[in-house]
Amino acid sequence: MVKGNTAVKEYPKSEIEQLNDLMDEYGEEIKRLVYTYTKNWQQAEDITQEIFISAYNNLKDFREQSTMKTWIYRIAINKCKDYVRSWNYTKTQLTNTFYQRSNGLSPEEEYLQTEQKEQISRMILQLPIKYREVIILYYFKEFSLEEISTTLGINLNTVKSRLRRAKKSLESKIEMKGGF
Amino acid sequence: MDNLLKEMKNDFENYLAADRVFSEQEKRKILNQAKYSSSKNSRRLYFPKIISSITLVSLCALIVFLILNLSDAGENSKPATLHKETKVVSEEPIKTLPKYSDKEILEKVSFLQSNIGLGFSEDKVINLLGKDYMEIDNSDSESGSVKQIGYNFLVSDSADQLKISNETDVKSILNRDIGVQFVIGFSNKSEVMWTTIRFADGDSVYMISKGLNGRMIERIHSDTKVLGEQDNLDVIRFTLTPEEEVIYEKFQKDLDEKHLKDLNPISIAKLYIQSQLDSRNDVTYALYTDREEFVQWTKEEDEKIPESHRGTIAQTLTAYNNIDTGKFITVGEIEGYIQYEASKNTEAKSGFRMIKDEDGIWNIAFMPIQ
Repeated sequence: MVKGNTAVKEYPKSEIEQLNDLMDEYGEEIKRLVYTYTKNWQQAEDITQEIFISAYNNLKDFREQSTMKTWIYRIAINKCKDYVRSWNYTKTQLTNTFYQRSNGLSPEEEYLQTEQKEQISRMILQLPIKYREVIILYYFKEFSLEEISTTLGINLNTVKSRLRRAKKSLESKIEMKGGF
Repeated sequence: MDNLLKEMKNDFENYLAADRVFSEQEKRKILNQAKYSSSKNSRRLYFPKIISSITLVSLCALIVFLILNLSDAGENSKPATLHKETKVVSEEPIKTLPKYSDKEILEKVSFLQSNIGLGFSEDKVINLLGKDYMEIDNSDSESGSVKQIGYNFLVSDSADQLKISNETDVKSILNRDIGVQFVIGFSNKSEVMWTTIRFADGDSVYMISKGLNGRMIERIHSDTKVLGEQDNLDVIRFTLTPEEEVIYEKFQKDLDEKHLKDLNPISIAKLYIQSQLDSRNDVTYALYTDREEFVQWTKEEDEKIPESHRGTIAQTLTAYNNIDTGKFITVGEIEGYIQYEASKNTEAKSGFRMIKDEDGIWNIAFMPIQ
């Protein structure tokens, strides 16, 4: 970089600065992604924290063979899966269900009163994780099939078949609700 | 289905949350933790290096010493001078983050007050607040607790993360090096018995204590002076009795005035003051009179009042100081006021105006201080 006649050397960023940039770039979307697994914002906050600390501790291992995006998503998804397997998740899910507010409407009435896309969003969150994650990564996080394959550590054909089955499952749920 | 899903990106994100979910505060918390963990790691990494350097230098010295001794054997030689190159291992100082604002500090205080209740299990507390706590010596406890733990929140320097003891760290709190110090006492059933929150607002340090005796907020430090019982003129504190605390907890959840029906006017005024201290503007407004002829502004208008116009903790505590020992005087059927002595320095007494609503419950008059 040259400013006037003085050449200014660009020093490499410290790891803390890299972490800061990483959070500026991906903090919001990663926390939202985590929520799609936990369905609980408090847990999402805790796990997001773990993800970025883990990324910070592994910054040296980041090889530019994958993009920063797939790298951080991979860490995030692994953390989320650890959480989903944990005892705490089962307990929280029960608690959340217990405290879920009811608006006193029958499912049919509720269905008629809520927006179509809101209904589909809810259905996506109700899909099994293996289908949910491919839908979210492909349609909402704009990952290519290859990137999904790298991030989830599964082969390309599996990604394709999961995506197909996920859509099929959504379609049948919509049909059960009477279609749109 | 394909097209529908492709069009849904924004709808899906809005369904998850309409506003941003990853806050600046959260980011700083992570940065702090990262610095804290790296300072621990760097210490850990330096130790083996130091030990191996020392061992290596000692070994070299021994070999040189032996060689010199052997070659000088039989001669009157001068003692060999061994030059050791000392390598100074300097740890890069941990940079500090910008300090947290008073607004962020008060938000944290409010979070702790609303989310950590008496009777909570230790596991639940740790689950909610994390594992960066310190166990504190409980041997002098007069409260019946068998264990105490402390957290430092919103620290600007990770080295302060676990700087916790029984004493209030006034200097660090006042400098905002530590935003909030939170100590919890547990019973022998590992349940929360009491909590204390220490924090600064303006140039004062406050302590909010919650326990079986209710809730109390007091100013424990002002400017450069630590306050004690001898400084009666400066001590300001505000308490809720256990009964008032229970009703306040219920009322703030649903704003239903039925909870207030058995309370005397002074207790209702105290709930109003507590809501101001907690910045619960919705609760404050709900406690104003509903009588149309006395309403001076709507809830919507109230919501637009900026926080900077609502007064600091010090202003609230000073304005309503001693209200709990005041006297309620009725003026006609539906009006009354609490007469109290806010300051011992002034001769005039203060008045806090109240209106009896149609349901028979005394509520607060708009602009109650006369």
